[in-house]
Amino acid sequence: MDFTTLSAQLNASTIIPEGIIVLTILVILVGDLILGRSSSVQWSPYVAIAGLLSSVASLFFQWDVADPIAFLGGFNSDALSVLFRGIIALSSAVTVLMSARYVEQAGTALAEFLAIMLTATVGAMFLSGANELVMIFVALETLSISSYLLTGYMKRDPRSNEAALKYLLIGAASSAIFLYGSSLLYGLSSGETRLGAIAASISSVEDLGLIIALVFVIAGIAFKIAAVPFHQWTPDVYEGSPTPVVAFLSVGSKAAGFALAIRLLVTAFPLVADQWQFVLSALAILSMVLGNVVALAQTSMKRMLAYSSIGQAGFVMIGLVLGTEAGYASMLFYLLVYLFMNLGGFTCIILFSLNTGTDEISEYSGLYQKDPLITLALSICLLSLGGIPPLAGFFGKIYLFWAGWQAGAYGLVIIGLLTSVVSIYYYIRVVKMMVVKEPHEMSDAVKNYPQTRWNLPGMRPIQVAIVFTLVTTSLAGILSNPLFTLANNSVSRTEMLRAAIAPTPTETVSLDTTAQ
Amino acid sequence: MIQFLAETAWLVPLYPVVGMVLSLPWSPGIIRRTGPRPAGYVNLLTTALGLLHGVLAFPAVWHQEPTYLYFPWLEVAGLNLTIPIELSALTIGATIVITGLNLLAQVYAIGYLEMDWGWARFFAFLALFEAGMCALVLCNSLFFSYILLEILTLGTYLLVGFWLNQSLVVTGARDAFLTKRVGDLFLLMGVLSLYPLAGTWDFSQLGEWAKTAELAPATATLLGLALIAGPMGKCAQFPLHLWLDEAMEGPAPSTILRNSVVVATGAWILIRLEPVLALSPVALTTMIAIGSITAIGGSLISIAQIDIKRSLSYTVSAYMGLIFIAVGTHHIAAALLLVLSHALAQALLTMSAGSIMLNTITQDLTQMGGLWSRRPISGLSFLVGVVGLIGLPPLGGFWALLKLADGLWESRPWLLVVLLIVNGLTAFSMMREFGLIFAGQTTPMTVRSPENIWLITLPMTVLMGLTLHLPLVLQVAGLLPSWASLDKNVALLLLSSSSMGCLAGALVYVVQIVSTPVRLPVPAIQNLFANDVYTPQLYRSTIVFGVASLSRLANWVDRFVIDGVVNLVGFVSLVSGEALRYSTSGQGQFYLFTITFASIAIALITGWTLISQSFPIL
Repeated sequence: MDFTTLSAQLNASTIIPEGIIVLTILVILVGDLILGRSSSVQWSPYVAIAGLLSSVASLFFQWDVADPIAFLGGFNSDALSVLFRGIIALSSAVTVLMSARYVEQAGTALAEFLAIMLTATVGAMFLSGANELVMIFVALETLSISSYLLTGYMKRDPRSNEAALKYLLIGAASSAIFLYGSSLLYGLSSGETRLGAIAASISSVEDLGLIIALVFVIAGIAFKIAAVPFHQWTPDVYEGSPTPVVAFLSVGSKAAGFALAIRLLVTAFPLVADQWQFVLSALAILSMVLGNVVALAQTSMKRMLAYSSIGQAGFVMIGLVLGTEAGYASMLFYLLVYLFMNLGGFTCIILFSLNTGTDEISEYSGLYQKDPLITLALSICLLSLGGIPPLAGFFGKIYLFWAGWQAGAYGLVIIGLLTSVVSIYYYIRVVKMMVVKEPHEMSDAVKNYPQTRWNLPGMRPIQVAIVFTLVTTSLAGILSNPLFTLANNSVSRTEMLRAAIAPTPTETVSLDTTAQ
Repeated sequence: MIQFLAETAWLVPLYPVVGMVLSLPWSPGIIRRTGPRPAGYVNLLTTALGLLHGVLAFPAVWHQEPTYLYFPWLEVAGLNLTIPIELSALTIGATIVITGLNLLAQVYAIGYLEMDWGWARFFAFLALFEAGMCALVLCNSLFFSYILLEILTLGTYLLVGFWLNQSLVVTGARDAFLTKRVGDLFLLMGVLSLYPLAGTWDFSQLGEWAKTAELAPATATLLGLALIAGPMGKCAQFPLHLWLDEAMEGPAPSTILRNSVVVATGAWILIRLEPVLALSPVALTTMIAIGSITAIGGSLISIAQIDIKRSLSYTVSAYMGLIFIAVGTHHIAAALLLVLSHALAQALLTMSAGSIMLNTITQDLTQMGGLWSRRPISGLSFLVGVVGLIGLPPLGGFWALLKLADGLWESRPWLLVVLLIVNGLTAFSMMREFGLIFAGQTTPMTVRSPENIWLITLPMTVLMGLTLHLPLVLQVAGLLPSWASLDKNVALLLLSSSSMGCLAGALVYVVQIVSTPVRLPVPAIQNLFANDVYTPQLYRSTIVFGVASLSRLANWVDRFVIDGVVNLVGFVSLVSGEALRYSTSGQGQFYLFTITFASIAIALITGWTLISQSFPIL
């Protein structure tokens, strides 16, 4: 094998986006060493954001590559992975915006935080394109270990320590289960690690080993996306972690989990497609019901959003188990809008807790008189999460449910509808708390609410994040066509999904006003 | 350049939208230092731009085939919503009329609302109205027209309710909204049921479809009735006419638009839908019947009103009734001509009435009189408006009515009688109003009533000029019916009905040969018309009673059945939420146990068939 064939087979240009982020990490670490910790708050967030945004920009050029397979089949840069990597990088960028002030106010080093956060991002992005068992595991562990570090980053806070330890132990256990499943897969396929080759060399469906491998792999993925009953770590970890980390875990890390789920299940387990769809349907139902019902009883904003994100993952899983083009596309679309609305909500919570030092829901009462911006943005984001038209979340949900109904998954859709009604209750409770209360019902935290000082270092990025997510959440619904097209194209361009989607003729409802 | 402007004429509705957004900063509390006035000037500018764009683009589309543009809005998974736009001489001409009248009304408003605090709000509402109407006339799809009609309904509510601290204003706005919603609700049923039948919502394609469509008579009748319900509400036709009367509580500048172009949006939809409506003879007959009842009833009620604006508003209803008759008898060109001439004349009348009201401090006709010497410009404008409205040559109304009358003469002579009666009654009513305001002795209210500042008088005189020149414009455009082909007898009949009406009105109210106020021999009839044919009571005993009974029933079901179920579900959810939250105990080993247990359980369930084969004992 001469050098040119080798470099063609490596096809290293597909990981330029990840390369850019790695470079950014280096710049931040070295710059922090040279310039000193006190000045790094001035520049490091901007470097991180610039790196992430240029990574997103370079993903744009990856959209249409002729040969997506890289590193001898270890990495696949097809349209699906490009979109997932874009979602992850974008969510990381918004997280960086909201974290600068938070970390600074907590008195910990910002540059290190950003470096770990970017490492987690790189891991998540590699996970979205990983096409081979070893690659998957390495990427998964990169993401997980960085997440443990981030969770315990507030090292003077015992809750943060507890969260990190719990996360580490349970994460390690679930990684072990996942690894067990992968090794079974390796053995069953007589020594293959590439996903496509595994599927090709397993012929027998009637194999208990394959089922066990499937279930163990699903257990690992379900831990990552926090599906019930693999969810119990979520509330504790979310409550103890620094809030920006929670935001990243609930969007970026989850998106990576979904990317892994699609690629691994569709490519490696086509023989037991019915089984994995059944298992994931069960997990989806459990997640929707439990996540939304338990969220009703929460009193802490962060815990409530933790359970709500479990419920939201349940909704997204509806799209995953359908196995139709509309199903995958609706799932991608929902993740896209979920990114904006969930991160918008978290940014508002961060700003509120920076100003008042509390996360209790009852402390939000009467906020609109003191801080209209937070009230507006948080209300819009929560209503969008609840699926109130005409916000982005409504369009996301309606597309998911529509795709489910078309594919005949009536039970899932009905449970989804019922639980989203439940979810509206606890989202609106917060909105009501902020908006409806009379001045004399104001909470103590709001009574002593300080004037927000936007000129402090790290406050502008928060303002930018709030306004950006607010505008996107309000407009992405009405002007959703570009996002719809993006999600649909990404599914239809992806080789593995095209092969997997059953060629059943789905009946399309035509509402064509320009029928010529 | 002109071609480019014509191709981009779909931008016209966007200018007012820009103006609306730009006036946001002057809403209370954001920009204080400048006062609210800049918001008005910004909107004036954007409206002028819209008018200019339309006027410049007009030559390029004149005598051309209509061109169609399509803007995809939402395309996903077989759902395809595209906004179709029609650019033709008719639609762009309509935007010119709308933006032109808006411009005049906005200048008028600057003078009229000089002391008001809500400029930003008022001008933003006007811009919303203007944008909605321009978009409506350019839009070529029934579905999007419906959406725009709803936006206009909202706009009416907001504008009528502008002075929101007066209770009559609030009820007026509410009633206008609800009455139009009743019509719109039926229209929505029609719109939705039309799609499965025709497969399209484009007006042009609906016309094609209607040529060959074969519908069951019952379907066609129901469809037609549902489709005319929307315009009935918009055009204030019996029995949905009362809102226009109550809407007169709104500020006069918005009344100018409402009386002239906003009510005409219903007529516009009706005209676009005429091919579909023609499928059902029952619908056409209903339209003619409703139009006739409203036309005669409206002009009679108008004579009995003592409020200057209400008297005008019933004339509007009456003329919209004539348009219903015109569309019901397939006289589209006459209907459009009537819409145009009525819009200009009615706007002029309303401007004049508003200008009188502003300085006289009253709307009560009985308290006015003797203003001719003090208010010559307003008086002249009022007279020109009257002549432009009714069938007196050579102004626009005459030609429009003549065209309609000429068509009716051959097909349905008894409708011609209706037309002549309405025309005569309107002439009488207008002369009555003129006489009560301008003739006779001065009263305490009119002693100090000079002409207004130029901001009010100038738009009025400009519009007077436009009304006077309308026949010339129509002649240049070749839209006037040719004199040779018309029946001279019809023209003579029309002329005599107008002059008799005017003469009678002038004799009673200007020269005052009988003592005013006139008492009819039977007071019951007078009361009947003075009380709007008791329509409020009619509403109360029918629709309000029906809705109230239904809501009482729904309330009972809601309270005892639905609430019980909902409370039960909510209670169960909350209790289970409270219970389940303790499943997360905080102990790490318990979490690990759950994961392991769940993995094994899932594996057992999924692989049960295989396991039971391997171990037959199980």
